[in-house]
Amino acid sequence: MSSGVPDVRGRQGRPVPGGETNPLTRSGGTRPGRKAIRILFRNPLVSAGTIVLLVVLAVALLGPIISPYNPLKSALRKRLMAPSLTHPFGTDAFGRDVFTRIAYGARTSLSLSLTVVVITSSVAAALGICAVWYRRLDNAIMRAMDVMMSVPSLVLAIALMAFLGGSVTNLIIAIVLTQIPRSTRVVRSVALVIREGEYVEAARAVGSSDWRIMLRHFLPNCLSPMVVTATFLFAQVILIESSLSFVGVGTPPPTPSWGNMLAEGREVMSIAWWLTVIPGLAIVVVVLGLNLIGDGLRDILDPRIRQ
Amino acid sequence: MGVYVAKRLATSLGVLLVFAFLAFFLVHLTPGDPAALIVGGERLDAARLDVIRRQMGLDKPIHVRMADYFLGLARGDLGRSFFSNLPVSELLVSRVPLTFVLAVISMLVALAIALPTGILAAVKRGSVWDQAFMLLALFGVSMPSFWLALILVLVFAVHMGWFPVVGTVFATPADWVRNLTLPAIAVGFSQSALIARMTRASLLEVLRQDYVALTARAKGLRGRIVILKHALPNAAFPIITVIGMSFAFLIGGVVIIETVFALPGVGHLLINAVARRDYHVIQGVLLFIAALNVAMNLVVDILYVAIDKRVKYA
Repeated sequence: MSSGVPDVRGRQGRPVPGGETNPLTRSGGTRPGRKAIRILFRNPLVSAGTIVLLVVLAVALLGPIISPYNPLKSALRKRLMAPSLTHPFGTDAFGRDVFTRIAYGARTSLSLSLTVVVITSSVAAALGICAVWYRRLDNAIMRAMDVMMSVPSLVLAIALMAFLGGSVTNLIIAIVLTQIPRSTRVVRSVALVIREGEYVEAARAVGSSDWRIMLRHFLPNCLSPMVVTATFLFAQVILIESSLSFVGVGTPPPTPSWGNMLAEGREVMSIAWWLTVIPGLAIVVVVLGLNLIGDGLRDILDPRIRQ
Repeated sequence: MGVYVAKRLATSLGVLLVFAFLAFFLVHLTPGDPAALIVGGERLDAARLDVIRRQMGLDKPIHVRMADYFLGLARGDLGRSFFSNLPVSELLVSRVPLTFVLAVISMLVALAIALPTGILAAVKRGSVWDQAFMLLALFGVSMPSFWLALILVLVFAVHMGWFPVVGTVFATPADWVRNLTLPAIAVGFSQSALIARMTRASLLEVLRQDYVALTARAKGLRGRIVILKHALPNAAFPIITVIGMSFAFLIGGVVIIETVFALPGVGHLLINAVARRDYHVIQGVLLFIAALNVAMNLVVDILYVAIDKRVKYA
């Protein structure tokens, strides 16, 4: 459950974020794209979050190139060395450099989470818009979502992994399945308001096909709230992946993942504090960056707060 | 009101029934032979494979298995563990009290932190307090609760030695306190961040309304009374909702935290069952948690109607 999923209840009956009041898509001036970027970065939360994420991205991309160490090869003579100049984050129980593993772990976490977010958002958009446009499907789709939400997503993901078996693909499937309902609800709540819009009525009157209306009218207008939801979802997925890996049903070892590293660090906690502190800090930094961006975007897009 | 409750109850039962179907198909339609998967970890022993197949009823056709399963559910029979051969319902009953106590204490910790800070932050909007609390809450929602637990263990158990590193002995009340303090703080803090943010947001919304911003103050009521008597009761509904919704999040947190502290609760049961592919136990825990969660949502929805006269459903 994300802290920050936009409060759907509160939005009903209010101007849709994403209608013409939306500052990011409102056309004004000759270069709306640049204007949107200016509005985005005038927000301190978005700026701070972006800087944090850029740093993490740099570590993920450059870390493995800069580092002279192999993230998987053990060097038993160098095991459990405290942070020093040669190993800024120390070494683990197998003598592997923790900084290098953190950098590879960032690649694992970010790419896996991004994949989950893209798939989840696409499926949720399709389901949410279809539920609103084809009224007959509404009840079936939303009750199916209720069923999927009857178990906490983390618990469901753990159980799914037991049946699917441990692999990165199955991990993605398990997390996607547990996250679809919430995103679908957000899309649906926005689409409900769009359906009553006059432009949709007009499009129908001139004989546009269902596909065209859904792609040209619903999708673009759902986009901004979807981006906010996706940002929080991204943060959420990183937390879920690390929790799953920590209890041994996430990213299969030996692939470095922050959750795996914390599980390994747990064994030697009393003699190697850095193996518990550092991977956790990595998680906090990334999730914090994403939540900052999510909060900022919501402030910008929510007309109630912007005034 | 009565009609609404009946309707809501029927939907909840429907959701649970469909979920039970899903849980059945998870075990029985997962590609591959589940019995072979269970035995697969060990050497493929034909005799043992046979025993497990018979235990799972895999020798019977699927419609018979489904009938058996639902008849069993109706009697509260969730099957048996493949490993201990104990009934799953018995295993659950022995694990639930600990998880329940941990969940309740965590929620109390969460509310004790979240409500005062959330209210203060909203009332003193923009002040240093507001900014400090909300920054802290932002950290709270960005931090995996199991990591906070690990840090607490590192500081208060490993270095200070005030608490045990893992809690497995529950003989005296003192044991309960010592074993559950750190886990409850870890889960409760994460939870409180969520609730504090929501409390602040919904109180701010109410404070902006005319009957608070103008009327109550125009009557000459003092600031504190305006907030306690007029604003807070109206901000309570979204807060109740978020507490209800965050229950699922709480259970997820508790499941992981039990692993950190090796606490013998429902979460520990689940994780061990997953590691050994003890399918009936996994299925049983899933159904139990689903029932609990659905019941919780039902209670919140009914409370909503019961308290707020303006909300009319049915």
